[in-house]
Amino acid sequence: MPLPPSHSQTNLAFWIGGAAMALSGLFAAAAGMLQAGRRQTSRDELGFLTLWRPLLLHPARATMPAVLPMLETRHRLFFLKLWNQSMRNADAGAADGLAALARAVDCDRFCRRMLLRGERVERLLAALTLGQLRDHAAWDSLVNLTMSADGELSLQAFHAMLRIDAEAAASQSTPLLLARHDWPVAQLAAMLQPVQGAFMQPLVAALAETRAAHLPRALRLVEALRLPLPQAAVLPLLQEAHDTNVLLGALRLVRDVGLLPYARPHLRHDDWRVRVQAAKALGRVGEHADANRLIPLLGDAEWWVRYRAAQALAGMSFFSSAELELLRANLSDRYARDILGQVLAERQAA
Amino acid sequence: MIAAWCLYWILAAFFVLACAAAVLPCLFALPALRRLEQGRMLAALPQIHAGLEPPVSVVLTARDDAPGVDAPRIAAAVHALLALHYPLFEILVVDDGSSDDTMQVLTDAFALHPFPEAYRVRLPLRQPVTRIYRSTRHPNLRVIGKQAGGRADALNAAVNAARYPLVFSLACGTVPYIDSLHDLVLPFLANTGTVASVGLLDTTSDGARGVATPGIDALRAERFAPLGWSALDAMLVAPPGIQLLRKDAVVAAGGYCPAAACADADMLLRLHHAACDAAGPYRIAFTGEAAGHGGKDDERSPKRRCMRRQQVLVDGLARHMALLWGRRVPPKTRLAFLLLLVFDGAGPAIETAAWALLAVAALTGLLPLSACAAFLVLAVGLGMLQSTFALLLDAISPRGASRPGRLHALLRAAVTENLGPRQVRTYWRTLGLAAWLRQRGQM
Repeated sequence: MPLPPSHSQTNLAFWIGGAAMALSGLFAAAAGMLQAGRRQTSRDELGFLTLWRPLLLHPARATMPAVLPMLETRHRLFFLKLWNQSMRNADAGAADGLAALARAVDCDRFCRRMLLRGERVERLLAALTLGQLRDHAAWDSLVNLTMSADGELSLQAFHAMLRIDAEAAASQSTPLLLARHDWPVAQLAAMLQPVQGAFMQPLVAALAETRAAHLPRALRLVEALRLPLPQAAVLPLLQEAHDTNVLLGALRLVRDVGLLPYARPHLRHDDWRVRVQAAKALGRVGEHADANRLIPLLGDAEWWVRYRAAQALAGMSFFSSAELELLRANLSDRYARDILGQVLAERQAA
Repeated sequence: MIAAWCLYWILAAFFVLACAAAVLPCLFALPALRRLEQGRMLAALPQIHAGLEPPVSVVLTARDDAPGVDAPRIAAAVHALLALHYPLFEILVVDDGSSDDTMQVLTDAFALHPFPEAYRVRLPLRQPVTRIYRSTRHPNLRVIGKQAGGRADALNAAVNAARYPLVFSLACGTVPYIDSLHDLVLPFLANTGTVASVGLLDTTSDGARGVATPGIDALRAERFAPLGWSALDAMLVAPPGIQLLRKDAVVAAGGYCPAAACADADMLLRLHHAACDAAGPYRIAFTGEAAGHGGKDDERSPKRRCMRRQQVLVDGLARHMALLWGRRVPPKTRLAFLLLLVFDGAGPAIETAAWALLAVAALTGLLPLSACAAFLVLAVGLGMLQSTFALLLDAISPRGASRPGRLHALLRAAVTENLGPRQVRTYWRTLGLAAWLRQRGQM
């Protein structure tokens, strides 16, 4: 006999609730299994560390055993972590010993395989390790990895390339590092600083050739690396740049009196950010006559323009504090007086 | 009778949908948790810090009438901030009209002296800035004295005075971890469209680094759901935490709203609002990791805390309803807003009404007792499903269930919290909603 409607509806609610509880039980069991697995991994890592840490702590010592313990496949990630940690604090002698030890356990070979087929964390560690090992055999795989959509992974691969052969990385990957906007300039600059000489020519060439979309990034890198850019490379950017970001980047690089005639017109630019950079440029390399160009900027509508113009004036070696105080007293604009007063107070406090 | 059954199934369907809406963002948190785990594995390895990270203005607002805030504590907080590990930062302390000796204590502790700063008013203030002080001992420390105008006004005063492009806002009593700025700034480095990066605040520990776990329900709502929505670039509300904001975006959003129930929570919605209006790509990131500790809730009683949080939520949603129908709002953000509005904003009231109606129907015989029992099984089962899913995510997450005894405690909570406490909290949240409606009616 079929159940009355109310019974079947009640049963449905029971079934949904029961199914939810059963699923809850499964989730709880899965959480328990995960925790058990995690504990097992922790125990495993502890065992690994007990065996391997002493070996990696003193790799350069003659006491290193002739036969190393067998590195099990499941311990490879632990090894890479420990090895890279040891490399961080190693001096040149210890680093050579660590590299020899890594090769002795076939680390270079399994890292190359990890680069191709490993999970993300394995690839990251493998790229880091191969860079430290200066493993030329991994070059092509690393180049491929720099094209990866994963920003962190591709950047780590590029870093490894820099360690292996900075010159080759510069000639091969400069367009890429300008095009990959997901590679933070701050981190790139940190990577490039030790090998910045290799990037001087490619970056200067890129300023002339690269598309306008990548120019601001190239200029920011040049600035971050403090590369001595020739006047001829900056001049066309100051003269012809239509993109505000390019102009901003070029003005940041003005460190030559010869560029002043091309920087001065930008004091009247519509964009306040350009006026700020032009004022800063004049503060760096400006001449006595430029003071008269900066004084009107003390009354600019934008606070930062006023502030940078005041800083530029205060930073000019031609003016004494008394002269600047006199200038302040003679200013009719209240905002100009206030900002110059602040900058003078900052100068006194410094 | 038919009407009673119709209502029964409408309410049952609402419970099922509410469960789905709670679990959905947690599903999206899975890849983010995997990334966090990988990040943890790599954290011990050499990090690439150039010292070229964007400089940060750290803002501390202080007012002596806030619970647990006094002059020595403010000075201690400033000392803690001065010890932050970061290449370039300034500290702006806003003394929001303290009536005690806060200024004197700060002056003595940090050798402050009045400074003739050309204060820049980008955001309008309710109460004026009276004076700006600068430390002769720590060149990166300034103190802004102003008349009392509330936290939002104090934050706006600090944003006006901030020199750097990123603003790190803190309340007194909140202590960021020493290297938290490095973690919080990463989303800005990785994506130039990032306007905010939010880190968790560990309100349960005494400073040992960990993840706040006030309860399994809070774990889901305050850690995994924001992580999931953040992975979808649609995180509208964040748990109590630490925010690193892009100053230009804050100014474009009109600054902090003094009328909002919670200025910090409202700011995230304002940022969404302003970014949608600007029609450009933007990102609000949630790190999912504790960035500091302290900052315990002002409200000690759980009931008041529940009510307060519900008021903050519905106040924010009501202020930014345009995120539901605005033309330029991305579909993901619109969906997140809709789910928040229906299941978190109005949901507690609907659930409370469901329990009341069920009780009436059972007492009057409109529905058989077996149907009421079935509803109870359904509601408790779905609640347990949400709780145990959070338990599973906690087991997956780094620093999660690895703590001894944590899994058992959470498992026990997953069962017991659904047999009364959840329903009580739902009722308290309904009271919070009612209180907000009353306040709104009086305005």
